[in-house]
Amino acid sequence: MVWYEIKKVLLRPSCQIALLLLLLLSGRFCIQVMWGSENAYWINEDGQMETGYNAMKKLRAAQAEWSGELNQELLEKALTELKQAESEGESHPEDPDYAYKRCQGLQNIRALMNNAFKSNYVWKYEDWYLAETLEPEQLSDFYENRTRQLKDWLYDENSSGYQAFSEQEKQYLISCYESLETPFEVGYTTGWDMAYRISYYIILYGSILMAFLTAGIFANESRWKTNSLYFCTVLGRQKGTAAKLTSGFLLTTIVYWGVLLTVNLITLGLMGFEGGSCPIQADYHNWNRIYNITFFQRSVYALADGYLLWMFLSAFVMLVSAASGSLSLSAVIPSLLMLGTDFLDRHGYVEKLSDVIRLFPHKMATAYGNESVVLYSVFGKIMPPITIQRVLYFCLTILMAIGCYQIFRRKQVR
Amino acid sequence: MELKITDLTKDFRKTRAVDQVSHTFQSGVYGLLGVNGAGKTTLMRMLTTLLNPTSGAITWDGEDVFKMDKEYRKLLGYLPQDFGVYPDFTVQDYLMYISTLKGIRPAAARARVQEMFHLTGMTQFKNKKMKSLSGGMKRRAGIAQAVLNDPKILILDEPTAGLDPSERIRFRNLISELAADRIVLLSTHIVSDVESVAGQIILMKDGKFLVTGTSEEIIGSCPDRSWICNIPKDQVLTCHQRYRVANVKTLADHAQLRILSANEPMPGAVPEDTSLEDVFLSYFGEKSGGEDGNGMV
Repeated sequence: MVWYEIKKVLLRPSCQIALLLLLLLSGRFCIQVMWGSENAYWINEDGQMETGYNAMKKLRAAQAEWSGELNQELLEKALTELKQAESEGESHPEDPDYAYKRCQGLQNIRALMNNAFKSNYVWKYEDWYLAETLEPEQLSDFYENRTRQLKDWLYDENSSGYQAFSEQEKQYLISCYESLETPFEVGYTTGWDMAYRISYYIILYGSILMAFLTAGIFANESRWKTNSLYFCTVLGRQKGTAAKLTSGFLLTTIVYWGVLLTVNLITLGLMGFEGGSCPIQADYHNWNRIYNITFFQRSVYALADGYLLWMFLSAFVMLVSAASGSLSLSAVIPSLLMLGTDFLDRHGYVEKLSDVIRLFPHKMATAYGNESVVLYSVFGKIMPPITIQRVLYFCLTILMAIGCYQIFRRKQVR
Repeated sequence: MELKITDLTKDFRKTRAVDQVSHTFQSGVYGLLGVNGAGKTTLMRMLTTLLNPTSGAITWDGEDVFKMDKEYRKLLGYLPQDFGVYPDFTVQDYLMYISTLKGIRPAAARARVQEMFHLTGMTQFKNKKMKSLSGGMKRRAGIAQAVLNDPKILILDEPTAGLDPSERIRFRNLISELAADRIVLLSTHIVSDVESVAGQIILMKDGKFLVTGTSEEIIGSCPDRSWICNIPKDQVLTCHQRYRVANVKTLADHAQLRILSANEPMPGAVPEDTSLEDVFLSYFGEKSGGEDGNGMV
């Protein structure tokens, strides 16, 4: 029965178009991220910026020389190299990029140093040349500075962090920072980073296309006027309805993992698997993140969260589809929930609801990419939004599946 | 084998679609005749458990059919009036899917589907997509799905609507073949369909059963009888206003009218045998000229 339900969906030309669009969209995101200069680039001998696969190969080779445990020795070695390149650069006034080109493999370490020694707790360093001004003996404070900056931000009465958190929340944040294992490993992590970014786009925008696939599972029975026959069969109201739900979830599962695993494997295959064991803080963009996880773990969690998000949306789409019998309504309402809240959130239209909006499903796709720190207290326990979202959307998915089953099996046909 | 309805009523907000009807159905073909909006489809939808009655009961051998749930639906075969199909399924896929919904095991379903292809003459169309079938072929697939589970109760709602005359005759013959040892309830507003296959006829109007019985009993119950009157052509309109005219035949020098009346409508009127169509017109009057009324006067 499940097979026939899946067949009903897959034989529809509109669903075939949606699937094709999903594949095209995935391909587009792969190209956009892998070849985009904002993600990785290489400055060649002529001073031209290269992007894409070839740039990645050069960057990968250059960073390999600077990979390993980021301890005092490696920090000092990097600092020496930076200073030396800077001084040699002064004797090459015809080439303003001389120092940068020479140190392309250690630019991430330089940015990490900038972060560690910036004057206050801001999300990104402000002075690119800060690292060159450091003395080797200062580098022993590299890791301690991260926690110190946080504490300053949380307890300085003039800082934004002072009012933003309760004492319990402050202690939670400090404990997250202190529990990061140091010295951590650094290296080439661009492959994992790209796979994560591509996954984010596919999870967010692909879910809209997925809604079109599952929207018809229940609604088409009334649209095609097959409902009167369907409901008077022996199994239509019970097993038939369960089969519809199963097919919706199964289709979501197959499409989700089929697309996401393929895209991740292709991206990592092209851009490199190495760096998966580095903590996310080893990339200077993530210096202030509170999650103590590796790049590999981040990808696994993001994919699992994305899967939960798609399952939740599928359940929601099927619920609307079963209750309304309208194909368009069931495809549009969940899309509005995803993109509408994302839009409101981005443009700050609902300042007062911002704490609630952060728990909306679209935020699950960006759980580890959120720059601002938001914490919730549940029964006296402090936790980040993603912990609540996981429980919330898991429960909602189950409740909506039950609701959908109960509504549809009791349908009357006038 | 007894399907019984007792004081069955269905209200939709302020409208009463079915109004306290009672009847006992036993093996045989029952023709449910009525104009559009008489409540036939609502009654059938209650009989197929698609709608819950507002009051009253439907029992199968003394047991409430809504409590029997799946056990009752096992006995059912239904061809709805607005018979929809899964457009992208082939006929074979469609029948296999319905077999699954009817709880028929795959091996038995395959054999049964082949039987249905032979019965309905659809073997050569089994790989055609449902959306590419003509109205008549879709109806054949409809009857095939209805009898897949060899139902004890076969409910056919307007099965010949939209079919051309030859398809309708084929369909009526098929229904007659299927009628043995089961209850067949055939709803229509096409009188000739009912007359040719139904042993028992129920006239339904405004949600109520007006008359029930055999074709002869129904004709006998009619207060009017048929008269043939020959009149000048220019008096046709006047006759239409004064009498219930079942038919007008325009001849070379005059018009021949078939008038329904309890008494002789005019001098020289010749009494004729009353047909079921005359009875239908007598009971339903002006409303009886609904769509698809090609079987009427």
